[in-house]
Amino acid sequence: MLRVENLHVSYGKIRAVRDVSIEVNRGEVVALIGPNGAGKSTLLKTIAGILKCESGSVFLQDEPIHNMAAAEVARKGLVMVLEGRSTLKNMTVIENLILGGYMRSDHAEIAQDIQRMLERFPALKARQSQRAGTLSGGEQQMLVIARALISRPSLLMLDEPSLGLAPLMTAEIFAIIRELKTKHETTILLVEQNARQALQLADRGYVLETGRIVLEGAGLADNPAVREAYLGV
Amino acid sequence: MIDHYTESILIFTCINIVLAISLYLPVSAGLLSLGQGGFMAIGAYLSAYMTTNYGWPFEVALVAGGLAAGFIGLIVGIPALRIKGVYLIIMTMGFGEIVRVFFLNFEPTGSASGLGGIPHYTTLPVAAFVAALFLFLCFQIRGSRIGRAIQAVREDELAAEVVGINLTRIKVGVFGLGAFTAGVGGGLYAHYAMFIEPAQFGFHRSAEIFIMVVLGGMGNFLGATLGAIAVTVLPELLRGLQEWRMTFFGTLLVIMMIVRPWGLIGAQR
Repeated sequence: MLRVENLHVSYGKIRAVRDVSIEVNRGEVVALIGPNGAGKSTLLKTIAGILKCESGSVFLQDEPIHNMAAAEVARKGLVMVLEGRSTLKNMTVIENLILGGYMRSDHAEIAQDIQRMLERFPALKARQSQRAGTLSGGEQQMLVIARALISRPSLLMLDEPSLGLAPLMTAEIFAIIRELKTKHETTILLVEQNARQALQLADRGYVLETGRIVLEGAGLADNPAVREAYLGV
Repeated sequence: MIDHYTESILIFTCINIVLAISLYLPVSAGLLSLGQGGFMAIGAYLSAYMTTNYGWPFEVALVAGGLAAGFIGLIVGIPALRIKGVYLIIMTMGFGEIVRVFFLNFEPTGSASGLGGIPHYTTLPVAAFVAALFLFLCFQIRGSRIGRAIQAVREDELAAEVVGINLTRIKVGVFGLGAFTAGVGGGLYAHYAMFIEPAQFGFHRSAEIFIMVVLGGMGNFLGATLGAIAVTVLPELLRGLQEWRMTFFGTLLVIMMIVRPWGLIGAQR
């Protein structure tokens, strides 16, 4: 589904991502873990078309997308949930959800999807005409995920969805991701600081350190190096 | 019937509403411009030249003036994609000056001595009709799919992009539409003033339009409308103060910005 080949990304002279190749297959949940500043977010943003790569290529269903603008990439079905509650804070909850359907033209079905999201997330339903900025951090994160789902992505990329959330909220967000995986077979590329939960949930994982993939595969949670560095056991 | 003086104030109010909307449109997508006077000049000169020299019907000339300004607006709008905030303001200011100096040296439209003998076509019903039309347009945009996209772009460009909103199209489109509106406003102005010269479209005009929108409230086209009314009518009401009137008006603006920085209409954020 998604294939990244030999990707290099730089901020000026600083090379943030070096020769990274990863792959995500249909229906898979793939976790990308690594320390702060390893280039995880940079990699995700580059795949989403927000940042430009220096060299290398990104294919979505065998179509090259590495030269496309972010909006175009989103239209291809690769939707990213940005780090840190990227709601439109002065717009209402409902308006945020409606914007999720911006790329679609089947109005009746968009309305149904929005209803479904409101049923799934009662917290959002209760606050649907409130400005998104008045929601709690966890609720905003739910709203952003719901908004992304309304655009019916073929691949969903989540950048640190549990960042800065209370433990209970973190658990809730992971429950949502698990539900997406089991019930809806959504393909997900997940970047997380919370390595333990991310690896438990994911089918496979990649470990990124200083811009390079150092480990990859299934069962990373049992790998002694990963256990020591990221799981603290 | 209303007397001549009142009529002229009402006509200027309508023209200023059109001009305020011309700035409100780009501002609604977060693009600040101090060059609307330039677009106004393009519309004013082109439409006036056509009606005066070629006897074009007013409606046709007005739309042609608007389209010319809108076209230039699209071109100017493209670099506007890359620059933001203060830098965009400076760029649009520079553009306004370029237009003014161009007409100052452009012989066919009378260069520095101005263009006179323009037919008096802008009556109160015409001005009111055009203003109503643009208000209706704003009303239609708000709450529409495009309207929400514009608001999203103003609030958070990155978040807007990831839901699939094409930043380029929204920004350039809205900037061009604003320029078109300013061009039409310029056409209305020219056919009421019956004489135009480059100085009328200089920086102070752009700043006046800017004040209308900021005073009224940047988040809402009704705010821009109210700002236009205030900027037109208040100085007239203050005529009793004679030479102190603009000083007093300025003081009012200062107080206003301290007390209600978000404008007459619009929520505190």
